[in-house]
Amino acid sequence: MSPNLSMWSALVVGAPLATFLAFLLGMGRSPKGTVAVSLITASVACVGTWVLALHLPAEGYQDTVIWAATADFAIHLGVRLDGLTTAMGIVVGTVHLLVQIYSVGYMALDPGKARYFAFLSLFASAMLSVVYAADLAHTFIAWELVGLSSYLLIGFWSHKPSAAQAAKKAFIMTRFGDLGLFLGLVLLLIHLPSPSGQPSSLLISGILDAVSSTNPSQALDPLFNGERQAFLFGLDKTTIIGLLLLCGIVGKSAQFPLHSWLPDAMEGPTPVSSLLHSATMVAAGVYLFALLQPLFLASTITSTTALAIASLTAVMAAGVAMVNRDMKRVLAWSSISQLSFMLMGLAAGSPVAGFFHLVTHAGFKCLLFLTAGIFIHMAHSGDLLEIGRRVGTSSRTATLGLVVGAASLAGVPLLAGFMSKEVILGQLHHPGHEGFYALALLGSAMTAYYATRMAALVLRPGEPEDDTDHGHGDDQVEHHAAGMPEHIMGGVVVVLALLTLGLGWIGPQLAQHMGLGPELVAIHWASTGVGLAVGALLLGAGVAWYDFGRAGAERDGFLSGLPAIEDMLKEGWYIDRFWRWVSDRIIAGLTALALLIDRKAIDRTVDGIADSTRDSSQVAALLQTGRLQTYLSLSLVLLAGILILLGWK
Amino acid sequence: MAESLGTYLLVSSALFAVGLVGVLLRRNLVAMLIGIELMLNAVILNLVAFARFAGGDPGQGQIFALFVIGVAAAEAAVGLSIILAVYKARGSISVDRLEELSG
Repeated sequence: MSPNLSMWSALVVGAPLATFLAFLLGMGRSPKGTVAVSLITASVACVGTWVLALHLPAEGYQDTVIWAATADFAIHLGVRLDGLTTAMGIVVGTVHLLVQIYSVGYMALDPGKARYFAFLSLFASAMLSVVYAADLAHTFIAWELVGLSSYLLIGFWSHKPSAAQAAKKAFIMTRFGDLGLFLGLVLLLIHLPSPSGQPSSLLISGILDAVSSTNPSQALDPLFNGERQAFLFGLDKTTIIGLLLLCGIVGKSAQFPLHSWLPDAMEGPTPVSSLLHSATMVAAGVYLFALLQPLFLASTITSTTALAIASLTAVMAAGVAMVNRDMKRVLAWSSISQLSFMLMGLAAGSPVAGFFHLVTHAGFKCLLFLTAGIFIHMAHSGDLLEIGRRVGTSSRTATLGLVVGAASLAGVPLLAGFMSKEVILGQLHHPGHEGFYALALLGSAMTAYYATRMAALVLRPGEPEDDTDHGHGDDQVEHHAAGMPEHIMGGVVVVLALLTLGLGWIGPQLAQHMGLGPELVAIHWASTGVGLAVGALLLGAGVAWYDFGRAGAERDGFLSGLPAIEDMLKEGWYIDRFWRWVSDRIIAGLTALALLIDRKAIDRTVDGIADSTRDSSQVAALLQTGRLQTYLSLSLVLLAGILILLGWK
Repeated sequence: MAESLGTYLLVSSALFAVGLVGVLLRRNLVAMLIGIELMLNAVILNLVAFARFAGGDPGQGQIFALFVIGVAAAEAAVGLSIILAVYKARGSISVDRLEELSG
């Protein structure tokens, strides 16, 4: 008997949500109870994602109810399952469960533990809702909930001003992109042709049908069964909508120019960073791209824009990761760069490459962050040199996690990161994509460089006399984590390390689950592509080893010979300064103008209305003397007047 | 003077005018109530006179008059009790003291 998929998906989304609601209703007074309930619901959700994936009917599954309807459109709530959504669900459910278990150790002594676990559950529930939603309106609601809960978690230690700032920055910058997403959804709702007699809707299945029912090679506007017509700025509707939706993805997945919130988001507890970087929040953007990939590919302009943004971001972010000294920030910039690789694979047209990389990245990036959590806790500092000096190789699980994670990130052959990145590179290795392919290779070499650098700095510490720039970088001492039971955290790290070793081989199964042929993820070992990729790896890793790893290395990197470039990278390409300038000059100017209009025009009008009302009522009040006999006389006079008027006629 | 409708109307309008002046000019609430009673009596006189001179059944006007007298008695009872209450609250029954509702 096959399980009721609607019920299971409601359970998957509802169980973590129930934890959060119970917290709101007062369960937080018992932190231990909250943690227990949270772990149970996380396990239920994780099991549920596997059930949904294993019992997925071949033709997919959809079950919706109408939530709001007018004559013109209908908004559904409900679930839509196919290979992509169920695979993504497993990633989210599993990573969420592992992070929760890890957090039991990491947050053991934090007084706000109950709140933390409640927020974490809300985060997972919202993300699972994004994954399974059948209607883009439903997706959007959950999408915003993901944004909200990441805001709450990044700013979890709200007594730190930097954490509060980072949370605000993350919220506002992603909202910037979501504005585009929302406009895109509205346009889609208005313009998408609906089956006759039915109100239009944002059902994902309907959108995908509309795109696939026309042949993109014909010069037609694929979404709208018509010729491509200029709609705005000489672009057709499909392009406009695709670009607007892309805005939301760029914001959520931290791509240029809305990427700088992600490194700052490191202010949250480390397990949060881990969840945020691997399976939720930033992955939501890539996931939405994968979900609506045919829509984006239907317009060359949209897909090329996505490719350009992604390849640019990949190189830029990897560059910053090469010089940053804060371990979590290196990882954050690396996430930005890796997300770009995923988007490149998707935008280049492969139905599985980018998503495969999302899955493997979820594994090894989660591993790297959880490992970093152990290191940072032991060293009481986030600075790579400090960690190297104080911890080094003293923790075996952390060393194992770092070596496996960094090697996978760098793309050592046979490890997860290599397998999936190779598929992306293979997808890009086609005529017409030469520039992007070159950028991707450059990005790979840089990835190998910073991954090796990070591992070398931590595991092969230099002499302790290197105190010249002590205090440099962001010392993120996470006092709250003191005294955590390390065996819980170590256990999770080992599990993830083993997962990472195996994840690279699930490509064919993943493709098959998504209804695609395994040849899409096959790697042609003897091709020039693999040769180039391994060459990039060796180049990057070799340079980094020469700079940081070998005995007697100077440990300041070859970029210190180019101060201009190094400064630019350390400043994150001045992007933050640019946004600061925008907010200081342009936004502040607009605000001043608005203030002027408000004071001079709006306030005066409103005050004028109020004043004249008061004045005229004072005149009218003169009639109300309060004297009975005045009233009587007045009514007598009026009566007489009426009688005279009547008699006149 | 011959008995005619005009005579009665003259008397009743005089009575009404006296009552009206009393209501409008006296400051004492009881005096105002008396003025109202005078005006009511002027009306009753009118009713009886019209019934007597306009033909038809004179009884109708007289019954009407009896009803008005009854209502006037009730009105006096209510009015006087209000005045009593005002006196208890204010210690005075001058209408000059009752102008809290001025605008």
